[in-house]
Amino acid sequence: MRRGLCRISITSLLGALLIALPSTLRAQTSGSAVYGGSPREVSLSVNVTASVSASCSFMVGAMPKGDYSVGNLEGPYLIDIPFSLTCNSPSRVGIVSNNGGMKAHGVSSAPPGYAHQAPYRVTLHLAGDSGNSAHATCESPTLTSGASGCAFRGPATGTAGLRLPGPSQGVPGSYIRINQTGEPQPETLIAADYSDRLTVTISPAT
Amino acid sequence: MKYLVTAAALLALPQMALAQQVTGTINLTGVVAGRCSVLAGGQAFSETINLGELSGNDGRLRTDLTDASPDAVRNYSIVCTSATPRVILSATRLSTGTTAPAGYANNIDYTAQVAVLQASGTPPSITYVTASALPAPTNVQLTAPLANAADNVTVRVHSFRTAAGALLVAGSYTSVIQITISPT
Repeated sequence: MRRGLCRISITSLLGALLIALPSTLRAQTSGSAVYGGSPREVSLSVNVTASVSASCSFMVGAMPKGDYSVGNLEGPYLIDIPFSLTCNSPSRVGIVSNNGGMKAHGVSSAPPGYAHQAPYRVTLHLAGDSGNSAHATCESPTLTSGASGCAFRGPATGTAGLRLPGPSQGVPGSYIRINQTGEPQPETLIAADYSDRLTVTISPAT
Repeated sequence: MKYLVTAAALLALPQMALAQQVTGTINLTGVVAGRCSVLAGGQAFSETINLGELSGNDGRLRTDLTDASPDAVRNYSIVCTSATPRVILSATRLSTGTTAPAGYANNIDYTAQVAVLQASGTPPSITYVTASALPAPTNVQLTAPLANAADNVTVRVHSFRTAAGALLVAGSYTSVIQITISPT
């Protein structure tokens, strides 16, 4: 009898604990106790439900980051920056440019006929599982914070950024391409060192 | 009981962290070197100025060549990327290269002038005057970029002169004007 009561107490404690757990993992319990010794066994059923949150990241060791030199801005250049996604759901990738182009250091303005900022083209290609992919190209001036006209201007959110329509578990083939054709421009670039910074973000897509 | 503790611990994990935004930073650098070139292409321009007959009816230097008004003008279109290009100007005497007898002259001095159009501000004066002992080249740094325009560099020659009253030796006279425009 004493043993039976002890079992009932444990069952009740289990029920209380599981009910107190976060809603993402709910456990329902039910039990019965019979006083008087017959039957001696207690039945307990537990229904367990759970969910897996959407998660997205860049593969460790394959992040879109680093320092890249395009060399002479007056000539053609092309740089591919490869990376890999690890997402268990559709995802979005966004890019933000600090300057909207390569900007001359220490040159606050340029005289008429000259330029101190050199735009470039950014192509974003995303590779996912089962051959899924997404691809878009934007001009750098459309990538500044608050600018419009680019499908992947970041930061990425559930609804903003280039959408990869399925999961991607480290599939190779994603890249960011920075290029310029080197065609003569009406304005002459002023001699200087130039730079820009791209911030690449990824988020699960809703 | 052990499983319950494990389940509780897993549920306590910050699940939102898995869905957080992840960021990569790409730094791009590039350079535009200081350079000057001819708009039509290349790094050099060359042209011949033919002044024609140098002597007047009296055998002396034509009087219209001796004043300060330009006797020849040539325009060039130059592109420089630097903020304040440098112009170096020199010239040789207009000469036959032979020896002139007394009372005659086969060396003619003159003034070469380079005028530039700047993108802003007033450009400095750039002149070079030849002499029997050639002076050092005129070396001037502009105060602003060259104007991004056609015919932004103009060469003029004027103020030709010989020893007073000298007759010009017959022959072919040649001179070279050297203009170097560098990024800085």
